[in-house]
Amino acid sequence: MIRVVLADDHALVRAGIRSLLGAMADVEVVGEAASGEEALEIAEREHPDVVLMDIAMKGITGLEAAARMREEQPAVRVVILSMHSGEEYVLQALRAGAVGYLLKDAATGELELALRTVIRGESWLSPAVSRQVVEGYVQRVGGDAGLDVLTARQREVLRLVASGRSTKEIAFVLNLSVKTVETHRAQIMDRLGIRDVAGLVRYALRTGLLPPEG
Amino acid sequence: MSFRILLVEDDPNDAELVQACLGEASANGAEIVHAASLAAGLRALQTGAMDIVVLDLDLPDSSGFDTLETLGAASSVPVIVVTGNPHPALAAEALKRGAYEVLKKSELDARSLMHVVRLAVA
Repeated sequence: MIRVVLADDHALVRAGIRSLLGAMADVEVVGEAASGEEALEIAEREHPDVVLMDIAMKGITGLEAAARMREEQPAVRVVILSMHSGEEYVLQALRAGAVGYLLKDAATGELELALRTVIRGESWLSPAVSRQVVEGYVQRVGGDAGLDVLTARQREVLRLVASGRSTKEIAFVLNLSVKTVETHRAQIMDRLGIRDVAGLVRYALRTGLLPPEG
Repeated sequence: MSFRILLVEDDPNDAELVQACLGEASANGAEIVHAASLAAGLRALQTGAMDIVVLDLDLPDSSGFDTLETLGAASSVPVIVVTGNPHPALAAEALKRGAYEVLKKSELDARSLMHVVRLAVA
């Protein structure tokens, strides 16, 4: 049986999550808290396996509570519940000792996956969060996919995309169909692991493909 | 500009058009080897070191993406597809299947083709 404490200052949110947890085999909610302090008290009393912890609560935040829980009850696994997918939030949670970070808009099945993952001693980050964290890490360590993963033609298309040319303009300049240019762009994004044009612009600037303005 | 271009094209008129577009390359020392079937193209790839392939997809012994995939499996040389089929989805699919670039015969000109060739062999 996985014993869970639920900490969120919104009663309706707790009720919703409790209902989801109640439908899972081998999962039992052993306590509910409306604040970080209350979560610590209940955890000390109940020795749960997992605390599902909202970040933004009155009094001490979920992050502070997670940090204290790591000090006082290191066996308890804290999974942060959050509306924020930003890398900085996630890193703060991980630094505080959380072993999971679950977005509140996650699919309901993800809650069970997260629980069962952290119980095995592993970490869980919502997929949208994982991607952002990994991309942020890759950028910080300078691990951009090199320009050499692109053909010279793809580099040419990338430079035009990053310099603000529309697909139609690029098609005209290169004497290609719009669909062909779109396919090149999709393949470039795929090879570089970049999801939007803004990311392509940043990449082109970082790699010197596009000279900085001024 | 010393490199070898394999042109795989069965239609004599189209072959002439492509060769005319590649005129700048051949004038500068590039060798153009013409094959009129996939089998002949594969033989040329095996026997001569080619730097680039200019390929028509529809040949007497192979058609469509099979042509591209057979050639792609036989060699890692960049393949520029030159097609008479104007459907945009064909170009997209050919790129996904490994073509270096896809150019339409109806819009083929020396400037565009030579530009792509130079990029591909750079």
